[in-house]
Amino acid sequence: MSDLTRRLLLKAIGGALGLAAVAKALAPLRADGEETTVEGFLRKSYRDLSPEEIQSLIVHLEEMTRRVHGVDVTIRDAPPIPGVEFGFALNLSVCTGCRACVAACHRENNHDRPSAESYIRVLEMTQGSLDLAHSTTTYDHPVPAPGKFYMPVQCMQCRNPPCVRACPVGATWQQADGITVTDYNWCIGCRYCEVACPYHARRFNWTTPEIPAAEINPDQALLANTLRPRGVDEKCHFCLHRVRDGRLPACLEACPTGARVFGDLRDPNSEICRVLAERRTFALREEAGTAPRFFYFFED
Amino acid sequence: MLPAQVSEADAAEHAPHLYPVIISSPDSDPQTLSGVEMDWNPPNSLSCRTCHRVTAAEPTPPWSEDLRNFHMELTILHGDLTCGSCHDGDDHAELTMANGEEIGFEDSMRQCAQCHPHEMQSFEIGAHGGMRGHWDLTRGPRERDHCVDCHDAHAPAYPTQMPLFPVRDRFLDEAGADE
Repeated sequence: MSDLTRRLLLKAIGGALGLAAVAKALAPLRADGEETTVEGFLRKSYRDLSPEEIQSLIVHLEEMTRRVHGVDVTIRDAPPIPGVEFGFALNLSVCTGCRACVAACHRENNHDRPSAESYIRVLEMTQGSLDLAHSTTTYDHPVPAPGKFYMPVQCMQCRNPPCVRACPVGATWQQADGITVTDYNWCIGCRYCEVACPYHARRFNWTTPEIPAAEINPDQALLANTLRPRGVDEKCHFCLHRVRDGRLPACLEACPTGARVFGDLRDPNSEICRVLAERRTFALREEAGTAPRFFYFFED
Repeated sequence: MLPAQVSEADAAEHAPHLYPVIISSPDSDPQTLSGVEMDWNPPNSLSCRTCHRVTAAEPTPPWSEDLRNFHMELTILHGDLTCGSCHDGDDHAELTMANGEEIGFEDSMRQCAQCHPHEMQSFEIGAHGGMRGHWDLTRGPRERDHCVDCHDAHAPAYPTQMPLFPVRDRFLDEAGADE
């Protein structure tokens, strides 16, 4: 046996032993039904994946969803549409605080059922004040209540996103259409982003999300509403799996009063641009310097 | 770069195909639940024009007891308006604008806009009224609600309702504050 082949053989044996050791070390975690396979551990960040690697990631995630949740889903890669920048506005004068958007987000984005998670939080506020500290999110009485107004808060898709700067591993970043996304397979769950966000828009998966198989939304995209593992952070992504397909976000479609306005900030004829031009809009916590792409306004 | 002059035909050819924005159309034959059993109209629901094609509406009391019962479903809580403010006196299935122009129910949004121009303008910029479908009309259509989908023309105040979804909040909910 030549030195060369002997070296290769030893490498192969060493490699196999190494992988076996990693697999053995991960075995206790696998009991959670999470994605802690060797492939999962050795994967690259989404941003470093070649198109072929993205395809194999999709196949892997679909297979895992089938294995863990027993559901067939369709996952696709939904890159930004060139030349489009998304913006959102919310008419506080017509929002009634019914929380239809909260429920729609919960279903659309495959959130954990027991914790009633959602990317949207509706604040009940006292008229004549923007005092967030004295708002409440857990109101449980007929709405709209006298003397109150309702302010849904979700990710503002900031132009200057503090969560992105806080992330030590680059698992969350802003894409060309302004949507800040999270790589659920790269996030290490340190929750720095959650602390950095002045809007309290980020959500942490304390447990593996529990969703009855029949309620899982099979219309999924990477960086969007695929089933998340335990221990990763996430947030509103403007329903990128829908809006990059030309469709409206789920929260907007669910809104019975039409308080929500969505569209392309770079199209001057879009509804969002007309609202920005013709209404006195404001950004929440403007002083934080985050430059949101989410605006609020009252009717005159 | 575009050539200096583009003919209209050329421009039309190069303009992207846009899907429509479809505004839901209100019932063109308004009905009322009569509360009266009639063999020839089992659902108890009658077209207004059944009577008001030949009988002008009398908006002011006194009404007979029978007439009041017949219209029990019809509550008018819309400012100081009476039937004739919006409906054509001769045919209740037609609407009359303030200037006397007769319009069909499919155009009724114009009539609402006579008194509610600001709401109409909000509707035009997409800031009032539910919608579904596509933000990008080059990829698909959009459906929009009509005023009367949410506001009963006879009693337009938007109703209060119980909020959906039992919210749990780890930080803002006092019950969860210990976590």
